Amino acid sequence: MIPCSISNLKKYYGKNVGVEDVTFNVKEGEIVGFIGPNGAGKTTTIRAIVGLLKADDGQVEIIGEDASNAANARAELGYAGGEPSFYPNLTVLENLRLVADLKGVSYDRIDYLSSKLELGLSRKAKELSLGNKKKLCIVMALLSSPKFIVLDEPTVGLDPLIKREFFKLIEEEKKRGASILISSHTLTDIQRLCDRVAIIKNGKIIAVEEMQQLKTKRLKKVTIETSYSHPEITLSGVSDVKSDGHQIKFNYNGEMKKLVKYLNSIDLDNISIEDAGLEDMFLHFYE
Amino acid sequence: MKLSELNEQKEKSVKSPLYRIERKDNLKALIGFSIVSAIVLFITISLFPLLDDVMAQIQKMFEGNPEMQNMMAAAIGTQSITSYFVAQTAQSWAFVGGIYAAYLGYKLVGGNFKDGSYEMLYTQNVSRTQILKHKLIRLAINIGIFSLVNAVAGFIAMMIWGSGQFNVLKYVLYCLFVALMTLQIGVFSFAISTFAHRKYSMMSAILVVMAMYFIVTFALSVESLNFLNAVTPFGLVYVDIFNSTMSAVNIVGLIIWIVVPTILAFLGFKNFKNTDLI
Repeated sequence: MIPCSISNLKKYYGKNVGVEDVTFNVKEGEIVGFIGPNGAGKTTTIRAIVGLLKADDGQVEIIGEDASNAANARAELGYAGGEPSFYPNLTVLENLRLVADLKGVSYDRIDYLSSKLELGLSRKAKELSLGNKKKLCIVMALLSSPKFIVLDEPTVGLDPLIKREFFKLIEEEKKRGASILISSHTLTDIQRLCDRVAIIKNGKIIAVEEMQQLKTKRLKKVTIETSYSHPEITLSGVSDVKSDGHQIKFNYNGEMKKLVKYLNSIDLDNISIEDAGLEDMFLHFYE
Repeated sequence: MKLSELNEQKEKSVKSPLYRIERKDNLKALIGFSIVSAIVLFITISLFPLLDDVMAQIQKMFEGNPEMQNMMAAAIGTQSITSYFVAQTAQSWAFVGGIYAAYLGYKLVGGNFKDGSYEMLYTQNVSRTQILKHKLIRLAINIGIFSLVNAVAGFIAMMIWGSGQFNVLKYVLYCLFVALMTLQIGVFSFAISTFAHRKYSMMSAILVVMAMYFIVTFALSVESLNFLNAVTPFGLVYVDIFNSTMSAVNIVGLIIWIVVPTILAFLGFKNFKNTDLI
């Protein structure tokens, strides 16, 4: 069973487009990164997945059930939203016990997860710092060892040490077989954790790529040095050209042999070709 | 207490985590409103002997003017402890109760949107209808407790300062009507909250009750506006049940304020089930 499948999701807010054409899925045991600029439709999509929003058209399924009416399936869902969400006047432990009781799981895991993330249990949730609020939401999401976990900007406010523990927990969850959807603006986190990445722009999914493929086969960062200044780069697939005297940097998206053939035609002093990071690819998709 | 001990207790104590969480989340307000209202009620009743003396002097001043005497008696209600209770003390109870009920109705649904807890709550493995049902039952339980605390405080005060001057059964009937009115306002506010989500604020909930209160005050003061008694649930209790029993009750208002909140709550449940939660 595919833990999460979205096809042709459409959601409008009055006349404004929330998302218009979103199709992707999260397979068993994989981590999918969900990236896009602010207002692209990430949160709308995530809220439709967790059942807070009803799709105007298209289908969203989690654990084999229609997400808009999936109370039973949500027993296998762990969700931490972008804005920390909990009962602010209750203590951390009371909030966690609520989720444990609703999901029907033992309190032992509260101990394990809270000690991993160094989360105190006795304070009122509203008195926590942003980082601790995020930790609370992460613990709530992972508490029941669910089959499908949705995390919206989970690392915001976490210090580097806790972030490392968070990554370890996510890797543990993956090993256990959980499927995870992570939305983040911190592209290095996505690059580090994810098997695939879905990129959304203006409410539409513009690419769903294997991370490995994205890293090795698609965008290359090319730097060349020439003895004469400003040669014009006329090869198709070239973007983001920056010239600095005898050095020229550009991104290339296309067949490698065409690039090599083209570079062969230029009088070069030095050359460097490297995989573009996710950030470069992200900018490439958006520019 | 250690988590392992909590685990052992879990099976025994947790019948429904939703009831428990709503009880904890709304406990302070319940205690605060109940105590304040009960104290005001108790103190007001304790003032009866004092006001009774003042009223006697006023009546003396207007000797030979029965029209004026009757008017003063109706306004201050100090001819007997029962009429004093109806005219003064029960009003404060009903008013504070109305405010509490409106607040609680708002807090149980709209409060989750205001404090952000709705995302956590409505993404759990419980349907929205189930969650609302638990909340509605919590509303009824809390209003029941609030009413009971006030009824007991009022009863003790009535026994002290009006012993032998009132019929206990009629007092109980009056308390039941105040509790019913409080529940009606609570369900009404709860239902509005299921439609309006975060657009319905605590202030608007309280303003609705204030408006209801002023309408019934006008309706009681101006004879030609008496029909407005049916427009607010307050019309149900601002009548002399002690002396006139059920004949004092505005039956039209009673029916309206049973039917309207019930229908609104039913529609609110349906709407909430199928709407976006943002």
